[in-house]
Amino acid sequence: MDTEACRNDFIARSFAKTEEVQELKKFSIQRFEFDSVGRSYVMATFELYRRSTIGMCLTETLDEMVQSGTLSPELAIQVLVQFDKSMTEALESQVKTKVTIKGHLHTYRFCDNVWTFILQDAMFKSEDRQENVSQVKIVACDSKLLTQ
Amino acid sequence: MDASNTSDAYIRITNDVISKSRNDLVFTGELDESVLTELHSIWRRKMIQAGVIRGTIETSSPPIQNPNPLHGYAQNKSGIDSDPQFPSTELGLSIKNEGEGLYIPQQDGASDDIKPSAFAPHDDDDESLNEDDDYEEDDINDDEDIPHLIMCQFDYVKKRKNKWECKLKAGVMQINEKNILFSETKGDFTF
Repeated sequence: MDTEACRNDFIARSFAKTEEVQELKKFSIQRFEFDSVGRSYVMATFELYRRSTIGMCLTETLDEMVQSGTLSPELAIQVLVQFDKSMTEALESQVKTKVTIKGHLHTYRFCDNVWTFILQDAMFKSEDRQENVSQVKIVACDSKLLTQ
Repeated sequence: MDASNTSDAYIRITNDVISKSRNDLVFTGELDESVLTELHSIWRRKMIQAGVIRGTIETSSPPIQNPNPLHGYAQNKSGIDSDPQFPSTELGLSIKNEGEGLYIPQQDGASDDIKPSAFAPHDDDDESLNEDDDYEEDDINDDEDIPHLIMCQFDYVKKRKNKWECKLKAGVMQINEKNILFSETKGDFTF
């Protein structure tokens, strides 16, 4: 069994329980896909990156094209899911920047495998730069849900 | 944390999405190449306008096979002579679109229309109003008040008394009007 099929089998087994599938639906889209020999598996993606500027630009573009009839909603969704994958992969493997964050934790919440923090007087440091913000919201999904 | 790195990364991501969509959808015949090209170009234009990628936007409209009023290209149905290379943008000159009333081509930036997006990430807040919808001063879902946002994944979050420690990864930081990407973050917060 090749690596991709192994990974897909792992994902299918991991997400076999209905409850987990329901939870995933709250922040990701599911597609059922079939590999070359017809085995089905569930592919989960993180929708959260769609809230970034690049994601919002894509969402707006797709919206316009669907509304004008140039693009079908089904195809638009497939493009969005591809964006989820490309964005996640780029952030995980192509970006090399490391940052430290310090700040006062004002609010925290953990719900549906998603942490939300609101930090005040936060400081972000990387090798060459520093940024300060008075208030920032952090939304973090569980990286283990996309374990490869 | 260099803006040009983010621009390069976003350009690569955009190209990756388009080329993979081409493989999945165009070569199978589900999607026309011209539609994909249009998608790419509009997406790119919006990102340039938002200031997250470097590039130039074409200001003269190229000849269009399929003019679409929603994209700012004047659709000439009123008998006014207009050169497709130079759509009129003079104030006061409006070009009628058949059946759609007056339409003034917009050349100065993104549309002000804020329509709810069918594809935007949604929260499960669709039930009828109840006491859960009471406004609280520190409403954690109130995105509007906090312009700075980080979207990422967490490897772990732990706390000891009021000291929180977390390991985050694969993140986009939108802070101080910048887009900064990170592969790993160590966070130390005090509650």
